[in-house]
Amino acid sequence: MGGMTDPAPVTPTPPAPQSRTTITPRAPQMTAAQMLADNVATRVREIAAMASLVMLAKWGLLPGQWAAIVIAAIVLPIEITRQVGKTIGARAAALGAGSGAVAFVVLLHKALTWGAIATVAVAAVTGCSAQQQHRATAGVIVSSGGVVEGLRQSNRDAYVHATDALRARVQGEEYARQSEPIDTAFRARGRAIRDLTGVLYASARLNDRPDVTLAERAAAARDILEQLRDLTAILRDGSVLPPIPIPTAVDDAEAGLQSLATLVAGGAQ
Amino acid sequence: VSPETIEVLIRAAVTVGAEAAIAISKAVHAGDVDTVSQLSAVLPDEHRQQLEDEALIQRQRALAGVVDAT
Repeated sequence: MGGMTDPAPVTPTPPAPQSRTTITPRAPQMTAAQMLADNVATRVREIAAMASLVMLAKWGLLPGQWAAIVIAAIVLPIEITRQVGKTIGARAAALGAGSGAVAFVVLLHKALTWGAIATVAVAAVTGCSAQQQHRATAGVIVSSGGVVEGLRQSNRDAYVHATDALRARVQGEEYARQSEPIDTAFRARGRAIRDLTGVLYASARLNDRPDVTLAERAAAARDILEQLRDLTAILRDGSVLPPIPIPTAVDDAEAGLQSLATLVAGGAQ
Repeated sequence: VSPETIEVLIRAAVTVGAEAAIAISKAVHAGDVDTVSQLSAVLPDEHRQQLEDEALIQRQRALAGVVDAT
């Protein structure tokens, strides 16, 4: 052990020459903040693109299979360019060489992504096709039918309750005399509810006329709004029969008409 | 019944024929809401609803013992 001699001094060997395939960054490295910002922007763009496509399919009222095909037809080119861009970029970086193809593919990818978003944005601004608008209007009308039916039932319930209570006190001719204002109010409400169907239909149709100018729509909205308020006032009147609760859908229609009607006051043309 | 209801019954006669309209009218006066609904199913909704409402009024009057002179 003690007879061991000191080891010979190690001569440092010169470093081996670098291989041509060693990765050498050609551009200055991005800072962490820049990378984070770039990553966030990409994710936002992707989420916006997907949400837009889903909205597009929903707007188009496409059946499930067709919606999937439409989305795939738009998404696939975007994803393919992204993967091609990654591959070309990695190879170019590995070779330490620049590639115009990288820039081209990246630009193509961005163009496709933003193209999808812009298409849906334009569709949102210009509105749906006449057929789609008609379908949407039909949906509103169907739902308004349910609303009106609910009002009719409420009106009948209120009438039956009031006349049952009256019958418990009086009968015969006295009932006929005292029930007259109740019958009149019931008939007036029934008439108002029947007219309300037409008013809600007209309200829905306002959005189904792309050929009508905004000013004309606003003027029509004012007329319809006035009728709607007159009719709901009859239903809310509790002087003879208890007031009928107005469904939220009717309030929503009134708010929509109010918004459109105020465009005239705002000078929209 | 109200003049509006009479007008609806006259219109119903044009749509479904005189016999069916008379049957609807009898059901309205009797306060038979279900029969009115069935017989007037082919009429426009607003007419059917008006006839049903009128039948309901007549039913309540009948329950109260009101004798209709008509």
